[in-house]
Amino acid sequence: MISCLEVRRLAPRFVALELPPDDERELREHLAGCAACREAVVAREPALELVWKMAAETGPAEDERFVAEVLAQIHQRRLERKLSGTWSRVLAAAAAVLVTVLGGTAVVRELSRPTPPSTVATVAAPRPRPAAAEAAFIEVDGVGVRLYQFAPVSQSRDAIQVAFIVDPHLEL
Amino acid sequence: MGVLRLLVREKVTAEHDDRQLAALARGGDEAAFAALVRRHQAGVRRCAARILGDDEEARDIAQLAFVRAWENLSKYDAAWAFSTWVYRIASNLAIDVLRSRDSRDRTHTAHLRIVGDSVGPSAPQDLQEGEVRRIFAELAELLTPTQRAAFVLREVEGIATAEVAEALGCSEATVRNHVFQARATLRRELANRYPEYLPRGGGR
Repeated sequence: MISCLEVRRLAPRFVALELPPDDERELREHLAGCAACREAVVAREPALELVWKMAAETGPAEDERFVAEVLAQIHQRRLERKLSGTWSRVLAAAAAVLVTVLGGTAVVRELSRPTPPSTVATVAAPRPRPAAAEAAFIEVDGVGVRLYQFAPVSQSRDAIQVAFIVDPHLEL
Repeated sequence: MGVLRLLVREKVTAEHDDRQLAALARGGDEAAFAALVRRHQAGVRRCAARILGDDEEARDIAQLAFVRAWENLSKYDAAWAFSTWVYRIASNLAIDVLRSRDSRDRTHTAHLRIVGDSVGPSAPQDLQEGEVRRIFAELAELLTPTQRAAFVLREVEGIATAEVAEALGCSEATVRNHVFQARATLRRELANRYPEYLPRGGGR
């Protein structure tokens, strides 16, 4: 423990923020218990008056609820990140599946179309062109990812409907 | 068996120092991290409250600082105290909050002097805990966020200049500059607004 005399000697360097950390720690410990030395230091730098008073304040008490809340936030963010990563992978996979299914179906329909007869006399009336299919869409909810594409009702024979659910908890 | 393992783990973490706990936490040991939070939460909350001047906001910032610490444990450099690292995170979060506050509101508040009892304290030692916090919160509004953080960390928390520089991501000379400027502002405004709180000798 340093003496009052030593504190008074070190005070100018303390105020100038020039003391080595160990010396400063000792000086602060002394000041915490010595009002006369505190006054001597504050006479050099009045702003430090507020500092002593604030440093003497009691901080918040140990709070086990605070600890529990920090851990809960960590768990929450970890879960969100995990789900976010899973969703990204699920959506990418779903998009790939959608492209494959629709592309494959279009090819199959094209191949299964009847070849036109070769004689002019028996030419049939041209088949009405099917109306354009509705755009596919993806639905994401708490259950999973659903992928849909509907054809027009009038073309129900050719309708494509894809619907599947991907479990959001599924590890990919 | 699970309970026994939990008890053993709790006992071990209580005996470890901060760096050991941080190493365990980096390996995914939540009990070790909880022990670190338990040890430093009061200091981090108090520091954040002094920078922000708002206990509730400080609580949120302190929690976020610990969450960020957990998420970035792989970046923790054990050359520095764990507490310094968390103070660094909390201080920077608090500075961001200060910067995002409406500057008009802050200026308005800074020029208010809340009138207390007609018979005020006659000497600095009469300042009560709540009063000194209120005065500091008022005067600190005149500081820049970085000056405020540097002053709180260096002067009030007593953290070494080198560690404050590390926390604020600047040089030691810059920290000293921030602290001196903060002191000058506080000294001037204390004399202007609360001369009764100045030391009896009058200071400089």
